[in-house]
Amino acid sequence: MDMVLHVTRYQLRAFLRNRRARMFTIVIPVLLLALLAGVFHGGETTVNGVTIDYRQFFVPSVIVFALTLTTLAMLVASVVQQRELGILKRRRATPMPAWALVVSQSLTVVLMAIGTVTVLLVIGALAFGVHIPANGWPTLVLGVLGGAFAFCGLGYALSTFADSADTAQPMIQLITFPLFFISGIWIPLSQLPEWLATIAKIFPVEHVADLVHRAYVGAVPIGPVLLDLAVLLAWAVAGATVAARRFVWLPPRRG
Amino acid sequence: MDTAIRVHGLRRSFGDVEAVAGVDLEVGHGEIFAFLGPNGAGKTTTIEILEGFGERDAGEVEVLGADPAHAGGAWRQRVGIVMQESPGEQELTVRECMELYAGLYRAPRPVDATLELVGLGAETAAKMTGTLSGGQRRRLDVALALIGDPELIFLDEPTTGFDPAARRDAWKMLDGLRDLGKTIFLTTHYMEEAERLADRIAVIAGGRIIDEGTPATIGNRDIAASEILFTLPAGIDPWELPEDLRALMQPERRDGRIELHSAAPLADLGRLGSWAEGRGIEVGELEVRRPTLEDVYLRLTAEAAGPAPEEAR
Repeated sequence: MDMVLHVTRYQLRAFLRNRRARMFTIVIPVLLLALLAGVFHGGETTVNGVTIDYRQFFVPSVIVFALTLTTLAMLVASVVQQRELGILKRRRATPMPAWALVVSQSLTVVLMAIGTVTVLLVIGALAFGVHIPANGWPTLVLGVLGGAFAFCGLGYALSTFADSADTAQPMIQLITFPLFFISGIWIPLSQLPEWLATIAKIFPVEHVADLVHRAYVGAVPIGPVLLDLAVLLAWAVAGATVAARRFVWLPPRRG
Repeated sequence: MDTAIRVHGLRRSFGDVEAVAGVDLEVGHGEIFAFLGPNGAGKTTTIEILEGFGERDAGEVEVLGADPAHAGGAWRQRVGIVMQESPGEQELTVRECMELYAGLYRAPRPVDATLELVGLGAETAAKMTGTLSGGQRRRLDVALALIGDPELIFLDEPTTGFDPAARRDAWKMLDGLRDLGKTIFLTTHYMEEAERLADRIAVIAGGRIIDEGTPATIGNRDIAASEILFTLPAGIDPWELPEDLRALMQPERRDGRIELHSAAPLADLGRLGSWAEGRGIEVGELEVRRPTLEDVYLRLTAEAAGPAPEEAR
């Protein structure tokens, strides 16, 4: 476990120095939050039968968006790149066990995600006056952790389908962007055709969004929360299973 | 036990292609062993198996007393790997990178001393690894492989892309490792490098070891014919040479020199000398060469490839 923290510390340092990583995890979400919450206000929408202000809809939405980008997209990009550059092989050539490598990599992106979510929470509260009620906090924590688990598992699975950073990038966008649109992040689920909402519920993004949106409303029924967590856990397990079968440490062969 | 690496009957296929087709190897402790072969000969596949990264179809493999396919952390403590070109973690400094890897070993070597050993000074240690030159990055690769103080080091083409001066420096550094008593398994495309560094050489082609020996004896280099090259003055025909020298003559060369292949170069030179003296002439551009390691290597691999070049992974 000491090894995990040791590697995580250096990885975080490297991540924070990487301009692209900062762009994805901090700059884009904050800009998006400022734009959406700044432009759309005064209107109302309905989520889970509760009518809320647009701002109260978009602050949690951007949090989910950032969480997905930081855990899923950054994890896939960094794992694929580290494999391509031979860094995975070099790490695997040390006495560090494989599980410790996987955990430290995941922990790195999860810590980044928690940092981003914290920044967004603070901006949402201070700049736009959108607060989480006291009884919503446990749901938020469950949403962030459940999402992190599901996205890390899924990320490791997806990383096995790309052999270079150049192919990983479009693959992730192809997967995440449609999911963002149908998962109640940019458009409330209540405004989507029912069949589309049903499809969205198969995938993890909608369930993370559901948890985080509920957290901002406060009073949380236990049933839907458990269902969300069960789906996220299932995705985490499915992802880990695929990854365990397909994962390779060596860079793709040239020539 | 005095053997660091022992391989017997190693086989590995990818689809229809048998990349490694029955390899036997033995490398002693403290030995520098050069593993040579053309691209696609099965070199990389073999090394990856020895490093514990590749699967095998058949054969016994023992590296530092363990099967690398099942070896764990304790084994990894004792093995260092220098891969073919790797850019490393771009956003860390050289020292941070070393500290990162040092933290993964039970008893690492000191960071600064290790950097010094590979010729990286304090100034370079503060640089981001992404800004290093090719030669500096390669040194960092070696330093990272050494940080755990391994007994056995795999060096995959350590000086590819180096300029001649950097290569000399790298050889000095590798000589330093020899003095530390490390066992080194080296691959290279530079015959001069193998000749300079290796205690023993094996040549692989088409997935098989085609010859093995010291740099001086491999491919019967020690007893192979020497070449005697010279020109005759205008007006003197090669057929006027004494009978026993004519028998050694090779097909005409492009530069017009006469080429003899001689198993007893001193005696044949003597004959040539007394013949020329008797005729009152001087031979020009006289040169006597033993086959270089490169000549031997090219002959061995060409023989192994046969009439059509063999494609393997």
